[in-house]
Amino acid sequence: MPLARASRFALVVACVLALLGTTAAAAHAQAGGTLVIALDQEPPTLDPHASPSAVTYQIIASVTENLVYRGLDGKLVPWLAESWTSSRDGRSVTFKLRRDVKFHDGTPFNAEAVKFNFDRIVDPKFKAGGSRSALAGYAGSKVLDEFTVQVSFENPYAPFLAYAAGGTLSLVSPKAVRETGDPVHTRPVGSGPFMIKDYVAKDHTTMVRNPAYTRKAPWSDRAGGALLDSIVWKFVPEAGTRVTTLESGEAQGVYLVPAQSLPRIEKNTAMRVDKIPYPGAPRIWLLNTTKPPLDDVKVRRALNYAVDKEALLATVFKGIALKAFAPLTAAMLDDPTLRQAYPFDAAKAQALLAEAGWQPGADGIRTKGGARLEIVLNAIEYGGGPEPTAQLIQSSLREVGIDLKIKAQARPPWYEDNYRCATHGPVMFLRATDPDGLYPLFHSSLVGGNFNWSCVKNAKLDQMLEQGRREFDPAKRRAIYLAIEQMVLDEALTVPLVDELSVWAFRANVRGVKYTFATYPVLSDAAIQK
Amino acid sequence: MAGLVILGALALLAIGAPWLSPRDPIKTSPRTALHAPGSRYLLGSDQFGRDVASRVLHGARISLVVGLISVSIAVGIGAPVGLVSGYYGGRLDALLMRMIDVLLAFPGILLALAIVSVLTPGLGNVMIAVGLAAVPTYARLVRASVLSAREQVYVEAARAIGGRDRTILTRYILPNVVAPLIVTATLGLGTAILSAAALSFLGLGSQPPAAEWGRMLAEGRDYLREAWWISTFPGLGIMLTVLAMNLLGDGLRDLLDPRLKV
Amino acid sequence: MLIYLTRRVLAVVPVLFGVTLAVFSMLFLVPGDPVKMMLAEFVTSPDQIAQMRAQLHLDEPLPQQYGRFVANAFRGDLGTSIRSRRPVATEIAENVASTAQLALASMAVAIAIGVPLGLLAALFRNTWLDVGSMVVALLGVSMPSFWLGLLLIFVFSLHLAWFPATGGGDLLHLVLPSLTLGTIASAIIARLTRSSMLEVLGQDYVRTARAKGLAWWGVVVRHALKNALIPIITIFGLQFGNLLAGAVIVETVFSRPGLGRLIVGGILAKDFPLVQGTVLFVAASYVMINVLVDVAYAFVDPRIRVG
Repeated sequence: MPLARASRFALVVACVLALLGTTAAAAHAQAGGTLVIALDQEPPTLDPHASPSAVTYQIIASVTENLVYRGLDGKLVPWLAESWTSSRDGRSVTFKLRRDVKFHDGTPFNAEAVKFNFDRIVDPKFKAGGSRSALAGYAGSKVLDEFTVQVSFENPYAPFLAYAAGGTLSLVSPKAVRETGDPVHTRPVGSGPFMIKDYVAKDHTTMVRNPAYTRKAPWSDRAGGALLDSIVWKFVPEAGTRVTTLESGEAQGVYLVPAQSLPRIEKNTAMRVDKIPYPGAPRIWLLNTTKPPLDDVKVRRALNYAVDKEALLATVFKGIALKAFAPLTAAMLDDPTLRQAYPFDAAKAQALLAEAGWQPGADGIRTKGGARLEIVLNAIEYGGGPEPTAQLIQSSLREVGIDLKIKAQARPPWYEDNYRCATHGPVMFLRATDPDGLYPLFHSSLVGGNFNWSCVKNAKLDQMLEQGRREFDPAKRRAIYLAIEQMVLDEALTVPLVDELSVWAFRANVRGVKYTFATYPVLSDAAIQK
Repeated sequence: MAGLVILGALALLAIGAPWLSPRDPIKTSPRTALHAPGSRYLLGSDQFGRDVASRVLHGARISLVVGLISVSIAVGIGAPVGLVSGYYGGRLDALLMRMIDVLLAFPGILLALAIVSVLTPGLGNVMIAVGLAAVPTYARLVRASVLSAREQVYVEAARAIGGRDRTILTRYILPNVVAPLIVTATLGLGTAILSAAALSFLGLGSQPPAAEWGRMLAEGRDYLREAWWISTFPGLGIMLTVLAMNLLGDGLRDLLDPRLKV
Repeated sequence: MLIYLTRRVLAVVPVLFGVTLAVFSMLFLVPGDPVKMMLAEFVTSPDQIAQMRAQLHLDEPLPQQYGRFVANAFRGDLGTSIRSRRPVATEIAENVASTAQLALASMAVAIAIGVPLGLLAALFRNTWLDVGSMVVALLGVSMPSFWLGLLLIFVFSLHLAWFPATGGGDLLHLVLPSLTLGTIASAIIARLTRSSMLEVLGQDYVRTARAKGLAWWGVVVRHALKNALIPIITIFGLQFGNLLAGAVIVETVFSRPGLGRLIVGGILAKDFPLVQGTVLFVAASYVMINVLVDVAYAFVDPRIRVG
């Protein structure tokens, strides 16, 4: 959706220019070769419909294709659909499909295939990941003719086209899904310029050039397949090691350069760093509004004043994030009113806590009626030590007399606690490509599900979120989402922390890497200059 | 008795940590993060600007306490089991020793790891896990000592004149058990501290912001190139402490139990 | 001899039985519903949870579940990993070689450092060589492996760039991890070699041989060393267990694929079938290796055979 285009442009303009500049060079670069990219984590699955995790789409962005494409400029352009029309009531979209597309296993791409994919996602027997919420209110797909399909929803659904361009709704071969069973998790069969060749757990996955790809990819200015022979994605969770693999030449690209190594990489002329602001929700603390003492809006506001975001930006996120102000990143929706909401102000936080009845206690922690002011933050333990963000929040809150306990745990119990509203909320982030990303975060129907972990049930908020889904006019949509954000801030349902940047570093001779709107790299034009 | 000297010094540092520390060990200071050791920060500052020297000092407290409690758990369970098993023998002995054999089938830290995975991570559970994992060592040691003591002439004699079990156990057998037990427990302290630090290093032990040595090492790992001091000094702390325990254990062995001398 | 062997092998049966029982009960001692944990990241219906429960046979009575667990384990079926959705046996098979390599290489390092150090100390008893060797050994015993690993990475990877810091695969990746684990294990071997050697050097036949005017080194090598090595063999079994357990930590330090990392990853991700299967596998292998060592020992040392 176009409402954030201006600000996004301002932020990434340098980056885009750099990329455009390299396109011509890429066309002349030698074809062939293998590009090795080190990622920070191993995907839970490569099945685009089953994955709850962004790392899946970082890998398969040039393996599976979508009906529509959305690059960094935010414009929706044709991909597997040549054109599309939305119905007047906003409940359905009719796609005219390309006729020259085959999946990697030779299965022809057609209207049936689109229907199969979308039906699969909503099938109650299927364990869907992020894809399920992208098809909220899906009523069904109708095959109008071999290459025309109509996708319908129970209510007008404005975000659909934006989601149709996202990795979760990318399309896989129906034949492969029916026949392969479990391997579909390690070998999704798409139609893109690269095909998954092998998958070695905890180590790497390899994808190779699809020789049958002769089309012009929507991000490219030339027809034809990938320039590289193959791409190896290595899983290297340790940040320091990941950077070392780039410096030693073991890898030519890495995702997520840690803050402490960034200056060294940026200084190195043999390296190039791309930073693209993520759309969606920032790294944010969702405050569980049902659990005392956070049922008191004054305490929640105090938290917003007390957390020192500059401390985060000076350490863990130095150079790899921007300050966050609201539940959507500035790249998604920016407005001066949002920026003024909560400046860092420990004195004000102290005053609010005192107003709420929490008085300074003996050990520096405030008390009320004999109870200490303790708050439990739900954090994920990745195995590389406790989440540093949580530790800095802990330190900030101690300054105003709040004892923050960090419950660091593995993902599964972390989710369990979030569903049960058992802690005072998690620090999380949500990569959404439409401001409708606020719906799963705050709609009352998603308490106990993904991701209303503020556990907020507010009829007015629900109504505005539903209104945003029905509204197709860009200006009106912007106004609706701005109002929602202001309400979330006023009620202090969250503590926005930092807007993260998608940070990719490559050796300087790697050219032609481009990014989708969701910041995933598309690599058919990528080449390694000798 | 170099061990005793080092250990005494460590204990003093640990007890005195709150007064000796130049700074609050958990207070962050983001703007002075990753300062190299020098006049401002004696042992440098970590990724959040916390004072490494203060954290290492407080770490000594945690490690010594964790070691003591773990070994107490191990001896508290292992010694009675060995005593009963060795003294009464027969079926009870066979059963208990089979159970100990099963525990010994999980080598080294694996048993503690399995226990902590069931108990969920945390420093308290690490002490329980490390303690339980060391039970077989003490049970076997005590059982062996009891067996050899039981064969002594004076114990035979006491039995012959109809001495009660409890009297025989406490008056004649226990003294034989105590010396090797003290030696092994001292050495065991070192092992327990190592194991607990290892579990914390793996992310299964102490929780932030506690200044625990294993955890500090794990956190410093990502900063090895930019700030070697974050992980170097806690590691040195662990090594010195364990070294002191080993020296002391060896020394005690020479002193208390000349038979064990090599 | 045959009786001894049979008895030794039969003694393993109750131990293995106990090990399976201990590992099996892990899942039920864990707080929380394992099925909910497995499905936590997915949006699920009660139906799906019930279905999963039936699929894992968690709706059966416990004794029946245990019977199934043992029978399956015996057939090499250790269940399915939650996170990777692949058979645990496959995960183990993929990782066992890496850990075995590490353990063997570490053992080689441990012997290469430990035996000479112990010999030196014994032969030059009460000299500065003895004291020096034993101080080094003591330092080794007290050294946390995860710290030594980091120090080696700091020096040999980050500064000298001789060896890669992390990962698995070729021999270069094996150097630092096996040095870490082997150096620490060598300390115990050095101490044992020294004491064992001192004992043998005090024996009559050694003194006799020397009195007969045989060359000092000939005596040491032909008589003393050979006999001193016998008790060292027993320590191999024990040390092998320590190396397997040490691999848990060293593999994490060096991000090296292997059984240890499988276990730690499994614990952090609450992937219990994976943890159970791998722990069972390691414990069973350890028990079997000890049997083999005992058998080998019986062949080397005739005195055992009678008992």
